[in-house]
Amino acid sequence: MGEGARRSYRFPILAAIALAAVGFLVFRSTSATSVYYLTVSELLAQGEVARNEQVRVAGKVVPGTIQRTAETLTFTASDGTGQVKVTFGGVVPDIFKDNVEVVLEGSYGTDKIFRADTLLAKCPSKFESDPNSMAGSTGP
Amino acid sequence: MADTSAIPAPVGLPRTAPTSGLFEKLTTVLGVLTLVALAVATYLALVYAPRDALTGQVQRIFYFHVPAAWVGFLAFFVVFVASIGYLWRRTTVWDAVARSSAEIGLLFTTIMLVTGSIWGKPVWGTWWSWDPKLTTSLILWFIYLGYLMLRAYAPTREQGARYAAVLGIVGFVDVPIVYLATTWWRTLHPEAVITPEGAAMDPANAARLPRFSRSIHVALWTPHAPPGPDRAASGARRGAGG
Repeated sequence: MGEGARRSYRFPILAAIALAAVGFLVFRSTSATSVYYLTVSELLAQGEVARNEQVRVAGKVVPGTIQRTAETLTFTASDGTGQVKVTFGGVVPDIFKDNVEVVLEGSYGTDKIFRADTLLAKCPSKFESDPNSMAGSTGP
Repeated sequence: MADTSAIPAPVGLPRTAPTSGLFEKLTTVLGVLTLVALAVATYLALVYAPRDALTGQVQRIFYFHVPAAWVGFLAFFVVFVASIGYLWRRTTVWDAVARSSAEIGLLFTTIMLVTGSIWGKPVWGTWWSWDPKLTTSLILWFIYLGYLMLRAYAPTREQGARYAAVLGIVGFVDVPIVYLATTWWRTLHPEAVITPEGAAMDPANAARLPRFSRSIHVALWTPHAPPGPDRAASGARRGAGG
């Protein structure tokens, strides 16, 4: 194998090493410094510092706390340890109900109310057949 | 389309692969099998499978979304292996397999992104969110879009094949990242339903899933069975002839 043939391998190998290094750095930095959402406890633990800052928080809808008025919806979100009262004025996803896990984007005010701009439902990864529907049914 | 007649003829590479009668017959047989399997799978997914208790009929998108993701991952794995094969052997067969698989993978990754988005709107309440699973999936789509662009813009076919092979090897790194994103990070996207430990779903439903993905696997190889001549090369030939 001559010098020319060896050189033809040099570019791909160097490019591969460079790209792998970049990928590794991106992976390390994203996994260490940022999370997609905070838990309710983590939000509460941030204290006064994080008040009125735009954040994303996830928690379960506490059963029986959903209250609807003409314009807003209020409920309590919990992660098992911490609880936060939430208000939201938009359209909720179809599966929004008691015990469903929600991801909220908004800010936690000094009045200890979380004002959500968006409300997303985090659907479970486990599917269960609807007992009311026989296999093969085409009902809604 | 770019003017392909300006591209110099590749040196030392055969322009056509021999196509035997066997390949033609195999393509027809696989094509018919695919059509039948797709019809059966569509019936199973849309009619036979039970309705999901929480999300209702829209959950049926699952039977298209998840197999499409698997086929995409498999296709990119084939690109990965064939790219190593090309850098090692430098024969057009490896390159043709890599390129065909990249096209298949990009198509199915597109289906995965589109069906996921359609599913996300009613269930999550949004078409898109920058969660790690979705973001790394979009990066995957861009990597293989870039792969095909890199090939198209390379000055010679040999260079295109070589650069693409490198990208085909490095780009595959993103596949396990996409798969494990829900394990490594907090995401809006639910965790993997089918894992080596089992299926987090009604066993009756789980049993139906492989049937659908099998039919997709047949579809995967049908139009690409013979490693034919590179399209750019055949386009240039047509241009010269006409």
